[in-house]
Amino acid sequence: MTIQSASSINNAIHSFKPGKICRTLSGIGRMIPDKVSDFCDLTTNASMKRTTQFAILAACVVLSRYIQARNDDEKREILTRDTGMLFTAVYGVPLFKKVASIFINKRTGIPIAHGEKGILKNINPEKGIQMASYEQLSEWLSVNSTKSFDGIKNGFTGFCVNIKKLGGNLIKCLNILDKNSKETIKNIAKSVGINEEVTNKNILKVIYKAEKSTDKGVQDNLNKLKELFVQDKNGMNPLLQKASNLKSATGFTCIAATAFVLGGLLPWFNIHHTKKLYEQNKAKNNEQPKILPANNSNIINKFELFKKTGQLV
Amino acid sequence: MEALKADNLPYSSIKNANSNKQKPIRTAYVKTGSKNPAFGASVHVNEGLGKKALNLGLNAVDKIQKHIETGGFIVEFLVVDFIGMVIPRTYQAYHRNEKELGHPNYAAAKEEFTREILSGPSMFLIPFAFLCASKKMFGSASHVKRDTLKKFRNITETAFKTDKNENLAHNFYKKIVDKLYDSKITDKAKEVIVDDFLNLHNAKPNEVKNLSKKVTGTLISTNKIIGNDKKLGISLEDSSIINLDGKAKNVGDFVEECRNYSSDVINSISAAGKNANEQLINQIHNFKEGARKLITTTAVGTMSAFLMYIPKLYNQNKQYPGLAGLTTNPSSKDQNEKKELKK
Repeated sequence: MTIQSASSINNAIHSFKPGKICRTLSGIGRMIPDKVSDFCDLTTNASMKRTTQFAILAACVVLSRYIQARNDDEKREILTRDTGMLFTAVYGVPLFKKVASIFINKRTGIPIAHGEKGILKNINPEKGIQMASYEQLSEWLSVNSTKSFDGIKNGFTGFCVNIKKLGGNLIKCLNILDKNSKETIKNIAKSVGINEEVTNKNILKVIYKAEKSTDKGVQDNLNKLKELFVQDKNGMNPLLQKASNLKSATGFTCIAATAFVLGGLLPWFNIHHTKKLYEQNKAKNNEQPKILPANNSNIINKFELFKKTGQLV
Repeated sequence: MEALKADNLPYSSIKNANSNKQKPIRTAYVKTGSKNPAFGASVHVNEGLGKKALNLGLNAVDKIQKHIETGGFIVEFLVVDFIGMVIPRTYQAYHRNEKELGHPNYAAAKEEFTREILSGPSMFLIPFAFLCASKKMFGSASHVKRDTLKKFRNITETAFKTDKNENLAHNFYKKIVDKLYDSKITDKAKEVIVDDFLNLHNAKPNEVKNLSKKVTGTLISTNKIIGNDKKLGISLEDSSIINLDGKAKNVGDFVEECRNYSSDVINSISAAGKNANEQLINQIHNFKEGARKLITTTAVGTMSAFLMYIPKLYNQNKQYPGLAGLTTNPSSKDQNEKKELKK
């Protein structure tokens, strides 16, 4: 293919002649301190950084609403409702995804997340363990054709090393792809001179030796394993389908849990708590007239009120 | 590491290989009557009405979730916000103190709906509107993040010094690919990637989407062949990450930034022909950087101001409608107490 120079294309419409207003605005923009503009930086999807999001939600939503609230009841409800929202949206959901990824990985042996483990490394929701995207899952757990393994460093072994490195259990993964895969692996192991039981620990050794082997039987069996990872017409294989479903189920749970906590539980709590407080207050008010006439002394009445309110009248 | 063969690289060649691909072994789909392999989401099970329903349900959830993820964080947030907040909160407010009032609490529902419908979407729609406007006013390079813009500026300056204004786009992308892959791939392989980038650079608007995908695919395939390289910041763990001068970026986002930059800045410099000089390059970059800073800061500033103003919009009632029906006196609890104390 011949490479065309950009300078020979569409030149006339691209000369640099910004208008006066745009130049002035850009000049104003240059005066903005770097730290401020970096704090406000946006992605191409117009999303903010999580720290910026947290700061804005705290200052412009929670605090602003609190200050502008009409009475103490509204203030209390804002604190319960919006502080809950702040932590659930910014920290709760990512944390849930991290925990769910570890749990799914332990239970199924399928890797659906990547990143460093450890509490300190996972305090910032944007760092540490991150649930994989659907695209990443497809790259990790499937190939377009058996030829695609040639396009991966160290071929099929490299592909399997990556699954293991991500925390996957290859034996379990192959079992999801095909129940008979255990037999195939056993046969390969025997053929390459590994007589011990094949586990997740030594399976890479078996695959590595099999890839190096020139024996036709070994290559045939290895191809059987390779074919298991090939995508069907829907771009799926059973392992990828399962990983995808588990990821979706986690995402769906997050939406459902958010709806339950933020949309259901917190407002419900606010409504019932305020109601209860008023009912209690009403009950106290009903009791008061019975007490006050009995003590026909102004000093005693004032003492009763002091006991109730904690203020001298 | 052994230099890579160019023939292995193009994404298209991998895609073409699909036509000859062998079908996967179908035995994997057959349930043999043994135990469910793992918890919950068992798929590809062909027996039992309950399991069929479970599969259907899971696949439906899968499709919805994929749509949400494709739409990005905006869609995810809006879906969560609308289903999780707007609807249930308005519903609860509508029925708040209904027994005491003898009718639904219209005022509370109205306040709740106004507050929720304005809060969530405004956090994305306002910045999004600013970004759209910036493309019109300041050109597509104002969409490029400031740190990337600085790196692109250095690369353009070097490319300009090397070969003046001849084939600037080609030289620019050649330098980009050199920075991305150093000597890990052959020159021929690099030229294939540069070709893909140039096709995207020269693309008509209706071709941009497909050509972006092609470049992204080529870069991911290249990353996969390289495998793991700490120096280049490439890893099989996530081959959709690329590293430009120490700054890790998503390949898709990077390709979009390249297109936004080159179709604006590189074309502008190229259009100047022989009149192009370093002063012009500085002038263009200063303009774009200033525009970017202004747009992001004013976008976030405007959004913050709007969020702070929202209470003024929903606080239309003098009294908090959440208390309606709880007290015969419309005033708040505080006022009740004050009156009590005055007695």
